[in-house]
Amino acid sequence: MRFFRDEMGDCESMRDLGDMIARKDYEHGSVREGARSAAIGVAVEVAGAGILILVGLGLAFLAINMV
Amino acid sequence: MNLAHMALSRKMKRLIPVCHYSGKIILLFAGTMIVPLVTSLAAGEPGTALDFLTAIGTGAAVGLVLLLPSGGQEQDLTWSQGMVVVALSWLGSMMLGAIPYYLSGYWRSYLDAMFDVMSGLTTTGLTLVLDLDHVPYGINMWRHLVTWLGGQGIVVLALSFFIRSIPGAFKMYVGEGKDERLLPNVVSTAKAIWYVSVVYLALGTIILWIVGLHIGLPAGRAFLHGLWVLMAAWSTGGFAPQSQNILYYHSLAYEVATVVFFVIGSFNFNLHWAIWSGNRREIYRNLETVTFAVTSTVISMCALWELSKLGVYGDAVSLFRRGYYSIISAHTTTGFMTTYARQFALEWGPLALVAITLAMLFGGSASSTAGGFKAMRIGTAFRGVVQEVRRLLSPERAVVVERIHLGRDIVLEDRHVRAALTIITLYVLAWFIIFGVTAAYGYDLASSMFEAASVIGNVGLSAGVTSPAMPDLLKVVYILGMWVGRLEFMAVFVFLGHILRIARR
Repeated sequence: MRFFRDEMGDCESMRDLGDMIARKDYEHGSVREGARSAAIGVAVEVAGAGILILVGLGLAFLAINMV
Repeated sequence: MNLAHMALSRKMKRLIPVCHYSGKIILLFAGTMIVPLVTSLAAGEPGTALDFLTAIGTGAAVGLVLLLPSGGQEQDLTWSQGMVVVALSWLGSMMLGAIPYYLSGYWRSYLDAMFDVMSGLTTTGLTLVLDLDHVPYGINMWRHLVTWLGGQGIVVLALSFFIRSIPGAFKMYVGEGKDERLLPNVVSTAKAIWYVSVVYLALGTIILWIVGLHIGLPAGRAFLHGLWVLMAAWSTGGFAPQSQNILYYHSLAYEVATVVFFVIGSFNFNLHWAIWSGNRREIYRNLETVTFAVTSTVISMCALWELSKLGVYGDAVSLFRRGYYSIISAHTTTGFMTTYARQFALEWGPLALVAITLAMLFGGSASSTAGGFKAMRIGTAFRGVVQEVRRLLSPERAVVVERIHLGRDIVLEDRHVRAALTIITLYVLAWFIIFGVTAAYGYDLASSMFEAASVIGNVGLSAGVTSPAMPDLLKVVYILGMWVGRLEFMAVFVFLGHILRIARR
């Protein structure tokens, strides 16, 4: 069980990973600010996922054509 | 202090917190069945509504009995108790959630019904349902709701709405495979997870509804299909309301929309929260997104090269819609299918088959709805190797520091690498056992390898092994595999340790 305690210990040490992030918006922001922040966040994530998919697909097709 | 409490021995008293929180989670899970109950009533399915009422009544009775020893008083939890609560709650929820399935008559046995609930809760997506295309609306709502709840985690759900902030809350949260807090308070973190999920649920449903209308579905059906498919996509689940899965829609727009949503669904909730809070650069700095970008690209290159060489799909558009979609669906552990199950084993060449199996094992991000090794562990293990190589190349007295970026820069330590490698090793071992059992039943090696990866990675793609006709023991092995894979071993091992300890006394 030692390994799993270590893994739990690892989790403990990572507890504060997200603490620095986002505190102000969640705890002190207005509804309007929250909605704006969420809308921009969604746009960034959709764009990020889109780019990730397109780049992966582009490189894959490039590899097919090169071989 | 009530009499029942006093009568319990000291050893048994240790079970009181476990019973208390398991009871609360079961009560809450039973409460969520109100949604399919209302759906059944609205769709004019009184028989199905009665099935849900039976299950709600059973859940309420079991939950209240479990709350009796504590007298309803909030309890503190130790680490191991937190793990046991999670493992037990998932098993209890599986048994409870299977009641309406079994009573509906669309599942051959109660075991098959439990298989599908565990598949939903763990966001796997493998199914043993009979005649899916004619399943009542209420049952379909329950199938997808279970997936959506499981994606966020039923403990997260309980923490958000049912359990006040307690000292043991974080221990249950970790037990469910989510080891990062977005906010200082774990209950706030759980609420933040639901906030992000509900926003995407609303947005995704509207988009898929519009696409559904565009491809000719009636308005009501387009809405329900949009809602259900989004629930499965966001949770990287893989259930769909039709037996042909996403192939049913024959729509490029539907496929593009779902692929975007399940890729986002496979992101770490910590990453969502960072981006939503203004830290936009985190999306390309985060170790997990970088690792996912690299592994998915390399795997896609190998698989598409093989598929192209073999001429499995005639043109580039088909290659994207069938090949690339399947690879990303596997890598995010979603399990949406745009191909027929047997195609993987029969038509995809060996390289493509190995590539998609690896994609299923690698999985998405930690603290997300996805399964598999997780990009964080793959990235950490890789950086550990880089650190070792740098150490060997440096003078003996040099201090080699390697950093990983997960919300902030973290100095990589041996214990991080060891923890990552331990879980990866356990996944591989579990995959090998499931693969061995499947092959021992006479299934071909390629299908066994594929299906085992799908089970342990909580993916849901099938090479045709999973069916109501498969042996019962194999169904039990798959249920355990999905459970262990979703809870990432720790909670299950602690739970088994407790059982062994009780058995020894």
